[in-house]
This record gives sequence, C-alpha cells and structure tokens, in this order.
Amino acid sequence: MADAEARLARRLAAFTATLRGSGFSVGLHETEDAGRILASPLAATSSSLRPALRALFAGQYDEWRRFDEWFDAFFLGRHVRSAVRTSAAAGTARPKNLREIAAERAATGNGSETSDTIAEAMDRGGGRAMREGASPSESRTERAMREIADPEALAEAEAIARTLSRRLLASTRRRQRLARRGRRLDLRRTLRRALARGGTPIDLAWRRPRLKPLRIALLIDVSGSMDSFTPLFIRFALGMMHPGRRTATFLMHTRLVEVTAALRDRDPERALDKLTLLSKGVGGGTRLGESLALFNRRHARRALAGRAACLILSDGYETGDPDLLGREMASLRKRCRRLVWLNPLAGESGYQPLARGMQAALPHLALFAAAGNVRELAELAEYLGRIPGIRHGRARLHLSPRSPEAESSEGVNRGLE
Amino acid sequence: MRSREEIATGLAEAGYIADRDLATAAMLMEMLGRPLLLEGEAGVGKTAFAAALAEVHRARLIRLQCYEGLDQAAALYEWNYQRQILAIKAREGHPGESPAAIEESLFTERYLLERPLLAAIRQPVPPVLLIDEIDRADEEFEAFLLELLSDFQVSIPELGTITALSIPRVVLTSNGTRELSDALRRRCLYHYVAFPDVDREAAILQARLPQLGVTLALQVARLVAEVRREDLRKLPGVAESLDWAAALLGLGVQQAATSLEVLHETLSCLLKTEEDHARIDRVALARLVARVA
Repeated sequence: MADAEARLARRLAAFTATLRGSGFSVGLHETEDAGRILASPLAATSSSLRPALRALFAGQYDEWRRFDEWFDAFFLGRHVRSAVRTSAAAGTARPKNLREIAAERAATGNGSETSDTIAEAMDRGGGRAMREGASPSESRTERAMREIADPEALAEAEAIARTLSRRLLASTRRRQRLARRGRRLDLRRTLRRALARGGTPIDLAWRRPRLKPLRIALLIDVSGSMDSFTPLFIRFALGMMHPGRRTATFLMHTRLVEVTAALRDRDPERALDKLTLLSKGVGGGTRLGESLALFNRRHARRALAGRAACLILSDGYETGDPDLLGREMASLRKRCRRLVWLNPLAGESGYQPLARGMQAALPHLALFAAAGNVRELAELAEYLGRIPGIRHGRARLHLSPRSPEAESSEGVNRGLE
Repeated sequence: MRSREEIATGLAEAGYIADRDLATAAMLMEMLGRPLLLEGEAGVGKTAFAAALAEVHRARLIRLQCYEGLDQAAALYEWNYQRQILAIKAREGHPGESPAAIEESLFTERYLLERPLLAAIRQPVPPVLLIDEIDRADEEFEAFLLELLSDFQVSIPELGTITALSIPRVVLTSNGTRELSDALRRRCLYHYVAFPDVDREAAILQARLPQLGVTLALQVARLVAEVRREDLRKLPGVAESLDWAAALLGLGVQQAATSLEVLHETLSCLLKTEEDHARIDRVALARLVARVA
C-alpha cells in the first residue's frame, strides 16, 4: 500500500512537472493540494479526478480548456497527438515533455505498446511542429521577421516605444490622489485632520485625479505591401510590451492574430519562434475591414477596457470592402478613447492618403501620422501627447489650450503636408 | 465533508443547476480551503452560484462589488469621523474626563464602520464572501486582497490585529476585462462557466419558473441555443433566457411554433443591441423556430 502511494506521488510530481513545462504556473502548494485530492474519494475515477485537478491547476480559460488533453495524455495515454498539435498551434510546443511522459510510462512498465505509439505519435506531431517553424517556402516577411533577432539593428525603435509608452498616461476618473493643492476638497481626510485640532478644519486636504498608464492596443498590418516596415513595427510593439503595461498586440493580414502572449515571452528566441508560427499567412493581401470587424467583436472588450488608445499601423491598402472598413472604424472609435493611424508611407514627400482604405478611415481618426522610420517614431511622442485625453508624462500640466478639432486636424495635416 | 453529488443536490434545491465540474470545484473549496475564481460570459450565473452556495451551507452571503477606485476604506473598514467629531464636540465644556480617556473611547467598535471584507472575517459562522467582478478593481486592490485571502487577518492601527473568527468561503468572479495577476490565479481554484447545454438550460428555466411547462422550457432552451449560434454582437446569457421565458409565460404562450409574433415582440429580452435585432428579424426567427420545433 505504501509502495502504491509512493508511486502515485512520483507520478503526480512528474505530472506537475509536465504541466509546468507547458506553461501552467504550478507551485509547491498546488502539488501538495493535488496530493490531498489524490488521497480523497475523488481519485476513484478519472471522470471525477480530472475536473478536480483541473480546477486546481488551471488558472485561466486557455489552460482550463487544454487541461483535459494533458490529463488524458499523461494518465490515460490518449489524445497525445492532438495535445501536441494544440500546444504547437498555441505556440507553447514542448514536445520534450511529452517525450518524457513516454519515457516515464515505459519506465513504470505501464504497457510498452502504448508508449511506443505515443512516441511515434509524438515524433510525427513534433516533427510537424518543427517543420512549420522553418518551412522552405519562407516568405519575404518571415525572413524580415527573423531579422529582428538582430540585437543591434532595431533596438532604437524598441527604446523609443518604451519611453513613449511610459510617458503616455490617462487620468483616472475614480481613483484620486491626495495633493497639497487640487480642485476638489477631500472632505473625509479634512475631517480626519480636524480631529487633531479639536474638530476645527484648519488643515485642508485636496484631491486631484491620479494618472495611470494608458492602455494600448496595437494593430499591425503585416501584409505584403508592409514587408519592409514589419520588423520595425514588431520591434516597436516589443518595446510597448514592457512589464506592468497593459498593451495588447495584434497582427493583421488576411486574418487577425493576437500576438500579445508571444511578445511577452521572456525568452526572445522563443518569442520569435512563436511569432513566426503565428504569422502564417503574412505577406498576402490585407483585409483591414474584416480584421477590424473580428477585433471589434472578439478582442476589443478586453483589449480596450477602461481608458485605452488604439494604434493602427498600416499603409491603408485595403483589398476587401472599404465601406466595411469605414463602418468598423466608426465602431472602433466609439470603443476607445483615441484612435490613431500610423502610416509608414505618410512621411514621403508628396504623399496623399488616396488609398481606398485610408480614405474610408480618415474621418474617424484622432491622429494620422507618419511612422516609416525611427526618426518619425521618435517624433510621435510629441504628437501623441497633444491629443486631448491622452496625458503626456512630463508635460501634463502644459496641455495645449487649443480646441480638440484644431489639434486633430493639425495631426491629420501633418501627414498631408 | 459533503460529496460532490450532495453539493450538486443542495445547489439544485437552492435553484441552481450546476454541472458536475462546478460541483467538484465547490467540493474542493471545502476540502482545500481555497477561494474559487469563476470566469465566463456575462449572465451565465457566476453571481447566482455564490448565492446558491450560501444557501447550501446555510451561511450568510456577503457581497463586495468591485469597481475602479475601490479602496480599503470602502472594502475593509473606516472610522466614522463625523461621529467622532460629534463626540469630541459634545464633551467640550465637561472638564471631568481626561483627554486620554476621551481618545480611548473614540477608537472603539462604536466608531468603526465595518465594510464587507472586515464583516466577512468577523462572522462566527463561516459566510460566503462574494467578490464580484474583481477585474474591475485595480491592481493595487488585487494585491491587498491577495494578502487578506492568505492571512485572513487585518490590522487596524488604532485597534490592533483582528484575526478571522471563521474562514469564509470565497467566490471571486471576473468578466475578463483585465488580465488578473498570476498570484491571484494561483491562489484560487478556477472554473470557467460556459453557456449551459440545452437540457441543463431547460432544467434551469424550470427550476426558476416552475409554472413553465416542460415543452415550452425545452423549446425556449433550444431557441436560445440556436440564437447563440448566430453571429451576434452580444450573446444572450442564462439571465436573458430566464427573462424571455418569464415574458412568454406572462403573455400566455403555450407553443413556440404557434406564437411567432409574440416571440418576435419579446426578443428584446434576449437581444440587447440594435444590430443584433436587425440580424434576427421575423424571417430569421421563423427559420430558427422551424429548426427547433
């Protein structure tokens, strides 16, 4: 009996290690509690053990959904192939761990037949995942995206984005901070201070709105026409992603892909691999309208919750329906505080926003500006800070007194000059 | 400790039809003493679960609704300054009492305003503490909450440390408008509340609206399931289908197929945006009804 328990404990430890390897955050406490679950009547059947362990180990919807496959692969030897496939698609492929499962299963003598098929299945699945990573028919953009591994070339874009994102602030409506001078009296605190003076309010406390980082959603067009700018923009997005900032990044080509999690990976190599996997289809035509429609429907609620700015980086060459683009831009404008379009071509002399997509989008923008190179990105900081509703970290008390119309039209003019 | 079947039965008696996995999670809450984090679309019954759980355990439900700017004073405790000042003023001109005694009397239970979190840890019988829409509160509050959920004690400088009399059962809900911290997710058990399948939704409708016939309940559940399959901006939740069923019941509908006009007129219970209304017009509705009948 004690022997069986020890074996169970070993299997549990191996299972948590597998989960950890595939991105679950599992600590010692969780393993300990899992031990208690295994000792309880819930462990009698896998149909009751599975939901119990899932409730314990999963921390978010994605993990919750994938958990069954991991569980079945580990304890029942089922669905191994699909587990590998799902994880490869989700960009967290760690076939190594499933290999360990197979090895472990073989070691415990748990039916060598099964483990053989698992190993085979894994070789097939893992092989496919690897082939996807570096296919011979790599498009130009994929190569371009590989280039961002070069630490020197685009570091500046990243640095600019980092400064920029740190300086973009929004004033919060409800959270206020105490201030020596301010617009509103903090009655509660004034009374609290009055206690020290026998109830006479002599020391007044004031409040003023607190500033907090503005949430940012980046929508990056990675279609064929944007090829040469893609590395620059990806690097710009990387800079925007620094910890503590709530930035969501999406790639737009024929469809819309969220790359926030991939960009956030601490290991730049792995981030790049994930990005390459996710950017399948990069380099084709853009369907901006459809991408935006999907964004509005699926992601906008989360990505633009609270005070957010939405930055679209695209040349505006729409292969889909420009009317749809116009409609979706209108609904996007309602969802975020400020809608900004950065066009890499706008900085070129003689540029006119004549592309059909650009024409449809223009009426909805708070700012239309050029962003074709590092210098233009650097200038952005100043322009973004001038859009009403977005506070600028250092110059927040010197907001331009001009009306919003004057400012936004100036922003638009900037691209038109 | 109750088995998950007992918990599921108890929840059903309280009018909440839970799936087996949620009942398992509720059982684990007991077994491991961890909070339960519920995520899912709006209106799938996350808040209702906490209310039903309170009923199962015959415990008090203490609810903390989160919002941006929620702080310690609104969530935990605050001194009743106005009353304290009144007390000071009332004693002016009565030189009998020593300042020390007055001060002593000012910082007592009498002047303490208990907010939900403090109330929750001072119950002799473990209550169910519902922390609703935690994603609306800001990160600072989340960090503070994490500390409270691990120690179950609060220190009030003027009074000292207050340790929990009983450990409350904690249910947190989130709509996913903000990414929650890993630390909080790890501290909690997790369950994703999905839209119920047709049979369970019909059971929920009947549990809440006993007058609703078996056929109509099933028809409404099937129709709502079909509506959810449409490409809508805002999918109707269980709360919406309950409203709809209640409306149909009130208007004396017996059969969905024969009362198309009433169904269409009451769609506003289900669809909450103009766009969605335009999408499900009479023709589309007739198509859906034909499919479920």
